[in-house]
Amino acid sequence: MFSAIYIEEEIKDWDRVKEIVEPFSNVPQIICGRYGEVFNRTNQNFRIQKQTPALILAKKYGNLVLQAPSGYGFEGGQSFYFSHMLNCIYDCRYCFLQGMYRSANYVLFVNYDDFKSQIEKSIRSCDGNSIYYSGYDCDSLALEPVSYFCDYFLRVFEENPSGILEIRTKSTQVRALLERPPIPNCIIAMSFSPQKSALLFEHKVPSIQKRIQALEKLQAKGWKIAIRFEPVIFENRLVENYKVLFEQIFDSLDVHQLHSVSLGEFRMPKAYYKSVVKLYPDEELFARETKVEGGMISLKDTGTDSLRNLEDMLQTYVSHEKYYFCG
Amino acid sequence: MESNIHFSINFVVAHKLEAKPLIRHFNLKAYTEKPYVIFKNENGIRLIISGMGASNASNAVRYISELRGNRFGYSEGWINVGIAGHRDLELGTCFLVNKISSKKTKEVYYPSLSIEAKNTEGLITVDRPEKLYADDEAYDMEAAGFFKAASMCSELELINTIKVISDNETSSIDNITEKLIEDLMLRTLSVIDPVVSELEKKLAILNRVLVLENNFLELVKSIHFTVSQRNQLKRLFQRFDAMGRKNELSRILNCNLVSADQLLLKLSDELKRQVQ
Ligand code: SF4
Repeated sequence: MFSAIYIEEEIKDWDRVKEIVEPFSNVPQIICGRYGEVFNRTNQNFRIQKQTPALILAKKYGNLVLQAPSGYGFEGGQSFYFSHMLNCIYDCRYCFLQGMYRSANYVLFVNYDDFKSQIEKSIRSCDGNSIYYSGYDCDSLALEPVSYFCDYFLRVFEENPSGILEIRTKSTQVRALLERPPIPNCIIAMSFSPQKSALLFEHKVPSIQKRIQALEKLQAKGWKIAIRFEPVIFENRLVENYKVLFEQIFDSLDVHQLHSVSLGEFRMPKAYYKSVVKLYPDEELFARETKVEGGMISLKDTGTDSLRNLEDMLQTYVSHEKYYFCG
Repeated sequence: MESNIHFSINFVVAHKLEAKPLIRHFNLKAYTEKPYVIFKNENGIRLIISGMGASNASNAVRYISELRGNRFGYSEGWINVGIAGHRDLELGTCFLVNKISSKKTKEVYYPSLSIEAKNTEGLITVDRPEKLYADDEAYDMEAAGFFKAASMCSELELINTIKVISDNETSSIDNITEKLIEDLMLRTLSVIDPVVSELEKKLAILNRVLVLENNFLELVKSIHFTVSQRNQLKRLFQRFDAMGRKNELSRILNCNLVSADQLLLKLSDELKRQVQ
């Protein structure tokens, strides 16, 4: 699973670290100074590294809870995000992480107690509800068997009901959720693309069918579910392809119980896009016509007002109140 | 074009004795004598005898990286192979190095590993032969200089260090003979071969687009391009390739457009007719 496990000297004796590395006795364990010595080096190649990524166990200092970018997520209070992990075990070709980081290695920040105190401080500082997104710089559930993220952070939010946790994922690692009672202030937000895009661009991601099955189980258990149709990648027969996907999803789930459904197009900061093109000059997705707006690159619409058409169609399945556009 | 070999793997070895089994294994032929003894074969593998010590290893890397004048910017693979000492590892133990610390400069390097690499060790590069084996790591005299220099001319994922234990607390450096070195180095081949094939795969990915660009540039070499036009042109080549439209690209390049502007315009216009 990992080519190596790097462990910061400072945390090498922590119980959580020992627990994480225990099942990987065959994997080389290497003590390093600060994680940046491995993660932030120049001359790394993300694409090559992605073939044999390593795990880096580290302690995160500084701001552990950050203001969410404007336009990210749903209404309902002040929005924040926190990243207990950097990078993801999946390999979506459209993922901005490829352009953001020099390294494809996974960094897991194991000082969960520090995250807890900053999350709690942030919750206390807000009037009313506040929202916390996890899975902005990673997929929070995908590494659950290693990170025990749910195990720890669900308890934090259970004790702090005015903090709403959204776990953004494409993973079917939901056992930890199914094995415990649901908490009302946690939303599991699953992202989907139509079959054609999923096959072309979402490498190593569980199939649409498996993800729907995971959501069915979660919903039956009483967990709040959200659906994210992001990023929309323009293609011929876009609306028809999304229609198939919408039917597949909304026929399987209880639409009335859904927390929210969102739509957002493929967008990437120009600098990240440039780096990603350098890594994958042979990728068809990046050979397409693009446009630049406000420093963000997006694909040119291959149809006429495709996003609007998708929005209209989506709102025939879900009520207007549950829908938002992520831009 | 200089040759059909679009990757190079460079072995950096301190001493001729350490190099012998590699020279035989890869069927390397003498290439230069001075200032460095270099061997190479027809499959893109080169070997340079650096001499002992970190700064010699570093100089040898710089020398061989500039030797061919890699004007197309192809990525190259790097492997430092040699003997090392360790407090208690058995003689003949071969391993990939997972961490290199320079005793002199205190710099630390972390070579990338592959999922298959199970036998790995940390390594300390020292200036003089280590007889006390103070730390629980292997000791050599070149790796830190090698890695630092190689990381300046190549991606980190293309740099490997492979060592074999030649001395330990029970068998000192003084027992090392020519015969022992040759026997020990023979053992490294089972570690080297998979590393070489990994490198070939990585280089194929990294160099594929460069090869393609250069092949297409050949077709329009009579046209003058500014640096920025050339970069635009290369990106257009890449996009045609990524879209599976290389035949169309060849047709356009062969239709005798005379100016750089004309060609760039024609290629961009054609690309806009996207087929998905
Ligand atoms: S699942 Fe999300 S975080 Fe992971 S690679 Fe795909 S887009 Fe990136």
